Amino acid sequence: MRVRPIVEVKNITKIFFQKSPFWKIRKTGKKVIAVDDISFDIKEGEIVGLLGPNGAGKTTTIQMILGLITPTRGTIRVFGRDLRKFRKEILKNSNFSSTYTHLPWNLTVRENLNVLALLYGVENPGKRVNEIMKVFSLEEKKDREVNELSSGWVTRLNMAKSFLNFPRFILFDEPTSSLDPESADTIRTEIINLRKKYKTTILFTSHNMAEVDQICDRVIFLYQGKIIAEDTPEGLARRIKISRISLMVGDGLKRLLSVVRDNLWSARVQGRYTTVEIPEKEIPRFLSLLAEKGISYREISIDKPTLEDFFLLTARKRRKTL
Amino acid sequence: MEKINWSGVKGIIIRHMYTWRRDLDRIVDAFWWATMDLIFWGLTSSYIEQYNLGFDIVAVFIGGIIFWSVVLGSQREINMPLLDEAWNRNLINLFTTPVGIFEFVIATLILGMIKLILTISFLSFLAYLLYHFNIFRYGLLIIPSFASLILTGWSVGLIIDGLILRYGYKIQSFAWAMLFVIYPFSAVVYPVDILPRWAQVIARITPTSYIFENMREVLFSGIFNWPKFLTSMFLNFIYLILAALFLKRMYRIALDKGQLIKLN
Repeated sequence: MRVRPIVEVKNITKIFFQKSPFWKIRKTGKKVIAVDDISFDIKEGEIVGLLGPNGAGKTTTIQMILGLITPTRGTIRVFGRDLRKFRKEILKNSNFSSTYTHLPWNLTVRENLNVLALLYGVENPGKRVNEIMKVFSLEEKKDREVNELSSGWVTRLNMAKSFLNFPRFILFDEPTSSLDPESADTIRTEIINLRKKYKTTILFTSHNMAEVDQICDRVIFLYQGKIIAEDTPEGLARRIKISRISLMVGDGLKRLLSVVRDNLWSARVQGRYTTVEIPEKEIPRFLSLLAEKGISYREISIDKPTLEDFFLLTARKRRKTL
Repeated sequence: MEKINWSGVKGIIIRHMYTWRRDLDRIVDAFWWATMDLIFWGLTSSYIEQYNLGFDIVAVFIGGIIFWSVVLGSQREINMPLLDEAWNRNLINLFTTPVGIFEFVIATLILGMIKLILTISFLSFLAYLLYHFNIFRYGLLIIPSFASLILTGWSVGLIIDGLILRYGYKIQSFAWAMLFVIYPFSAVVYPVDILPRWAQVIARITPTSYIFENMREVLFSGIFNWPKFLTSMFLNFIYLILAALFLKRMYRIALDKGQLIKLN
């Protein structure tokens, strides 16, 4: 039996009209297509990353799923229900956290969570607020106003907010972007643990590719409002099929560059290291050529393509084709 | 139609009450201008009273100011929470919870009523203290009169909420100014009859003008003019329905244009 996905996005498009003078009744402004006929599903318990360069349509997509923007065309179903008709019911079981939104700065941590528990209609709100403060170690800051907290603590509070109502589905919009690496790692670990504990379905956006690689089961890559790739982080990285080999050449740099040129590969010399980019299947031939031409090296490392490589290459390739 | 999330309404009320407790200016704002008006016009009318105009000028002015504070307070307290959420960049957090514009409006109406009761009680006490003016000289009929004034304030408040949602911050100064469009036509201290013809036409479709005229009739003759009151209520209901529809439409457009995000 096919299990119904938690989120079903079908053929959604969002067109904004650039401003036209207010006295003109007809929309004469230029059309801007922010999201262009995209469809995807998210299964229960899955963490899906929404990636893409700035202006790709990630935030608009998230905002449409949150009901903050109405799609021009298409449908969004969450928990099997139409978002337009069952918005409140869906939002009662969902949550959202973003670096770009703020909780009221002149309310304390506890007051903010008390208010949010009421807004979400959480049963026994006082007890739940105490529980969630414990989970996110917020007890020591409970009587501090938000404007007195560091960005790390504010992110913790946002995280506590996002798990407050036992949501079945959470949207995270760059949740760790304002954090130092250690705090970001702590937050990532907490997301992974809580996801396991509550089987929460998560839609995640970030510009940190390593983070997406670590957290996400699947990645949807958006470019200029369209989905151009969808796979696991490893699957996307594998699509690159180009590996990077870094060598500290002892003798034969000229010969190495000549080998690279003859085979139409590419190479970059940076200080003592030379990085050669070649198709993955050509690695054995490259290594035998090194021996054949008597090129000696003291260090060698072969880096497999990463999600970041996919991101950079795809974005560059697309820009060129435009 | 979806069920009202009463827990959400309570959440919004508590959120703003926390702010009142911390931000003195939210409280001072509700009392300051009305108090200054009361003192200024009270003193002015006390001065004019020397010329024996044949009616209780102090009561007309003080009553007018207290009654006008009801309209102003009920309008401002609808708009203030929305602006407060926008200034706090909390609109997205708010509207991604299971509360909608309807719950938000209900909460702001309740918040407005609480603050209005405090403001009017304070002004009435001050008027009694400074000018021996007793607001209860109008008797229980003050309740329907205030109800009508509150409805006018709500109608204007809902329209301003709609404009803020649709046009954002650039409209916020309008929030404080819009109500004053009806001020000259409300006959707060002078009768409608002394207005020029064109202004009288506008005054006749302004619900507050009937209430202020009625206030003076009660003062001068002790008679409450029910037809005037009912005309005012009739106009109020029409305006309130139109204002609610306008707000709903502006909210839809704001969602369509992504205006909530820009406001955040």
